[in-house]
Amino acid sequence: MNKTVNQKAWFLILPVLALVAFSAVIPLMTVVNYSVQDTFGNNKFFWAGLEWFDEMLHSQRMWDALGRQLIFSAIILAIEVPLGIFVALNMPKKGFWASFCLVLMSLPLLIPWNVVGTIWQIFGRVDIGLLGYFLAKIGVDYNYTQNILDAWITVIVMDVWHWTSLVALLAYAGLQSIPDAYYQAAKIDQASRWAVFRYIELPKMAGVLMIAILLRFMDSFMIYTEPFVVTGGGPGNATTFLSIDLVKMAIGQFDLGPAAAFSLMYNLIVLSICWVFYTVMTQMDKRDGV
Amino acid sequence: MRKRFGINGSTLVMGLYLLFLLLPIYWLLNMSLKTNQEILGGFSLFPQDLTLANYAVILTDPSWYMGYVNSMIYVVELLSSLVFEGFGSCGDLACLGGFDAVFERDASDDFGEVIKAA
Repeated sequence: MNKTVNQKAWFLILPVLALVAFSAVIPLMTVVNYSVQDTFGNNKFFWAGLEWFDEMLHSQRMWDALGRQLIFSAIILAIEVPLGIFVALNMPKKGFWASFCLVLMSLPLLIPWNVVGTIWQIFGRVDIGLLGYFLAKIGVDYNYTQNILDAWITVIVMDVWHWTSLVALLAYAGLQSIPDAYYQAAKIDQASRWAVFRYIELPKMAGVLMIAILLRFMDSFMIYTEPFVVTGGGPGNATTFLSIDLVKMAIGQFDLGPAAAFSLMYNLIVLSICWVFYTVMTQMDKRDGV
Repeated sequence: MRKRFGINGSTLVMGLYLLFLLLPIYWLLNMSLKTNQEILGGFSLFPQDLTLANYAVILTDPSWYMGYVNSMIYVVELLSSLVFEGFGSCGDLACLGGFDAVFERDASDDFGEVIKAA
């Protein structure tokens, strides 16, 4: 049977197109506009071609910021994912304590970024913060405003504090969906605890874990507020991650052209990594489906 | 039953993890109940001079509570725009690294309350 071809149906997506244009395309094109123009002030712009892109590709400062950003994302993923799985495995399965843990674990997830930054900024202070005070008491020379390593540890522990629960909750949901029959079969086979984890729990969690890793990667790759509040990007430039450096460049120095050029490259990096994740996830779904 | 780490092991892990989560929040609460003099004057695990004055300031001074009102307005606008877009685009919320992310995040301006409470 032949379907009726009616191209007029395309008009139905016009409202969505208009809204997406307004919320995404127009702001993005503003950035594109800045990235290919230069100005001497007075709101007069002239064409600069790919000059800013060329400059940014050879900018040591931006490559350093990108490097710090990648190291940061790698470290927090390497901590939060295993820790989240470990916590999920140790959570009570049902009853009062399960709900109790769920409520307490979701507390950090509900706190806004800048409040999290403020909490840790004070928490780590040697004079009035619980953490800093006790570290100083036991003789640890801890100072996140002076020492590069301390600043990094503070920012990483803060992110672990804020977001490990998200990974744990997703992994917990994955674990809860495993039917009891799998465990019974494993018991008949006398599978070890490790074998149960490796061949039953981990494969069953793989889907939600991919989502957790994707979410945590994207969020940590664009992190701005928390390190900005706690360390302000210092000491020196030690915790100046990519977003912080871009804002310094765009709003601090008002170098809109280079900042716009780098924003676009930043956007492309995030998009391409998302695409890799998406491909891997759909491949996994296909494989499971067969 | 499945061989687990044992009840005590799991309880210990969860206890330590929840302690880690709650310590900074406890400290925030602790500070919110102290006077400024006490916070800056010395170190104490519990407020010696318990006060709700900080909360009174937050809830009566417009320059503080308007922050909440503005956040509410922002949330309502965001939700309505999401509904209209049918959750179809990840455009401005997730995908743009540079400018947009900065402005989105700055919109939740609850920074002040904590400083005040502290």
